Amino acid sequence: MADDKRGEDDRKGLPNDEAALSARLQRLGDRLATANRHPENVDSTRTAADASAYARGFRMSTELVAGVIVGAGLGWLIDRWLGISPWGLIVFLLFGFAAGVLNVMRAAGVVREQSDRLKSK
Amino acid sequence: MAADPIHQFRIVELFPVAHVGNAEIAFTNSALFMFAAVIIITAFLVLGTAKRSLVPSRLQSAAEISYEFVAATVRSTAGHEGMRFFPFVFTLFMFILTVNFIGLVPFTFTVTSHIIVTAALAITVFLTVLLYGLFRHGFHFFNLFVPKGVPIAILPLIVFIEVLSFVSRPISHSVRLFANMLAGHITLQVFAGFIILMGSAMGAIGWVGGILPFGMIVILMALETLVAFLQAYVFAILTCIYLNDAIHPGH
Amino acid sequence: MAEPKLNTSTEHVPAGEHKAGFPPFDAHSFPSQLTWLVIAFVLLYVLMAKWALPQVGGIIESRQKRIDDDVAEAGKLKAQSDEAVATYEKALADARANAQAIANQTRDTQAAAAEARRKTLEDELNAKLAEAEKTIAATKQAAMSNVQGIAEDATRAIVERLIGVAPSDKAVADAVGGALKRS
Repeated sequence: MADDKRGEDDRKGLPNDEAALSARLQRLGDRLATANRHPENVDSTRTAADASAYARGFRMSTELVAGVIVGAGLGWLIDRWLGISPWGLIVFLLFGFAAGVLNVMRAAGVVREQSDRLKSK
Repeated sequence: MAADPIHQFRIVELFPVAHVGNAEIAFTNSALFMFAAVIIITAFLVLGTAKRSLVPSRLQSAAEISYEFVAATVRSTAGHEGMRFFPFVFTLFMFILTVNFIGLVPFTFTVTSHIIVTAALAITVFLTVLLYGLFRHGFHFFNLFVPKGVPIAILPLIVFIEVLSFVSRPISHSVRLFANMLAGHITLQVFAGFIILMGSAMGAIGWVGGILPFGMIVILMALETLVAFLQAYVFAILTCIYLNDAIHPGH
Repeated sequence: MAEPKLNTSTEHVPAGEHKAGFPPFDAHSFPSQLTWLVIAFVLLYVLMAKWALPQVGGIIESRQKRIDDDVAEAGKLKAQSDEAVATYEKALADARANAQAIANQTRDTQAAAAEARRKTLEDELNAKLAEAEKTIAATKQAAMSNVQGIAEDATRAIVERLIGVAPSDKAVADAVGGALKRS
């Protein structure tokens, strides 16, 4: 009697088991697919993007000054060597300023980086 | 003395080591903190990961994060080939970061508040870029300075400005770090000086009034912590950008 | 801090060279700073490149490899279980088809057997029928011959009673035979 009942249960349970099994297999397949897609660590790229925005800001803050300093330094040296003060300083300050502006535009992404020239050629 | 905002940047010679020509080489507080940084970084990375556990402890996970952070920065900025400079960039980043953070601790010395240190680091980067670029591309590397589609008449002028722009890199690179650290520490010191000043000048009322600058110091401290990290990061990422010029995939 | 040392250090400097004031621009300290910076930086670089970074990188790599391996293993196991399910379903379908075939075959053989039995029975019955018919014919024959005998006896008796003379057997037999033939 009891055996009969269990047999019946088994027979009735069989389709349920199969459904559960296939559902579990499906779920496993989905999870494996996501695991294989190798998440590019969305979180860390976002922080990196934020930080690089700051980096850009800080970069711009000194680019102009640096250009001017280089120009001034070169002009001063040339003045000293050639004894044409203050003309070297004046001219090179202008160049330095131009270079500084170029630096800033480059840092802001308005002008292409120098390295792009190697790439495109 | 405490009110003098410059005092904290003074180099203190702990003991002299050698004389080279006119110059005197001495072991200074600056050198002491450099080595402190070296020891801290090495201990952090090596001891933190000594167990090599698959599921990391807090310290190990911090070490791994620093590794992966720099690795991601290098890879995204300088590409796959840039990874050969990963140890270099990592060393730069960790050194500057640690030295900056040590400098935030009261009564310590900030190595990066000296222009000679930041300039030396920036020039190292500059020379690395220049030499590796020449080694990898030969004279083709100088195409860096030659924009396309510019009339031949003004080309020399443009090239000259481009060269200036290239040469100004180590300057901006070093001045940025130096100036930020210097200005931050001077500001902190000035506000701290206010507290002392008010306390000694106005007695009890002054001490109460000192709460305001103290609050400012707390805020500034948070800001400086951010700046300390960001400056190290900016230095690292600009190094990567410059390196990218040198290693750029040829064809 | 080492305040007295500071004083001695400034004493080293000739008054003309040392522009007292802003320490970061004090060229006097540059050689020492540069020297120690180079030593510290190179030391740190070597420590990082040869020791720390390979160790950390190795850990990260081995973990990544472990994860990849585990995922691959899970994928393999899933493929296996998929295969097992497929095999099971195929076996089920096979068994069903098999059962169908067996049922068909059984039905066919049973039908054939029944047909054969029916045929033999029919044959038997036919044979029995034929035999029975033969028996009936024989019986009829015998009965007929008996009828002649009885008719002859009766005829002889009737004629004897009518005419008192017993007719000859031959005459009676002829007469009866003729009468039977007519009827």
